[in-house]
Amino acid sequence: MTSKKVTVVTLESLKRYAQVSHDSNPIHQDEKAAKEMGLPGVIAHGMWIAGLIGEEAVQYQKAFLPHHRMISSETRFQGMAFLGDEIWIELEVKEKEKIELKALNQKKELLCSAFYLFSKA
Amino acid sequence: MAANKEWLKLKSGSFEESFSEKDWNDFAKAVGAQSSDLPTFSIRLFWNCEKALLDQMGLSLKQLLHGGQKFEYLEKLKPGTTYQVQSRITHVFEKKGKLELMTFVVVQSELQKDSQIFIRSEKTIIVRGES
Repeated sequence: MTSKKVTVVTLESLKRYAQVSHDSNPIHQDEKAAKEMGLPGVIAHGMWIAGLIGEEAVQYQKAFLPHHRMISSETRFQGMAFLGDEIWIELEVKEKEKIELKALNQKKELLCSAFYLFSKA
Repeated sequence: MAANKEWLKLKSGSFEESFSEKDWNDFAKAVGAQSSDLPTFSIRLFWNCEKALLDQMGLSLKQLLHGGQKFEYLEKLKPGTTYQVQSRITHVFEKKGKLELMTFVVVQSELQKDSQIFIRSEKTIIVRGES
């Protein structure tokens, strides 16, 4: 299993992601809206974190399965990432064509986990 | 909030979506990716269609959390191509959370061109608070 720190959650990065993904849910950009919904503050988009994981899956495929294609992914969101949180990603090879990726914060609390499957192109 | 089984009858209609090479690259940059063909990019193409369903349900975006996301990648997407997107609600159920009863809504969407499916999506949404 490999583990690495990939980024830190900032309001700027969430605003940029909201713009390019069209996900305009205010709980990811506006502290007042987040607090109205009982959250302690702005939370990162789950799919922004899933994108960080997705990039690791792409890099795994390029390095180890260059003649394969990605066929499916399944992501479960299990925790919230707040502004200033570090995002760490762990990658574990379950089988040659199946990997599990986890995103964790600096306290090693699980944010989301995903399985990616590949098959020969 | 209570699960509303009437939501199961809702359908989105068909939406047309396309994207440019720049959209692809900007999306990748927003997550610090080296590769432009990120497997999560299609979430952008499903957004308008799924949002239309949520509007029919009378839900505000801020009530929603993303519980889970599945994708099946059947064909590669290409910039400059126009795709059709359709969404429907397949499951509505409740689960007791740590603090409150939560409603889960499962939305299945397909992105296709000329009746060929390129990507299937299954999104689980958690609905909080009153609509």
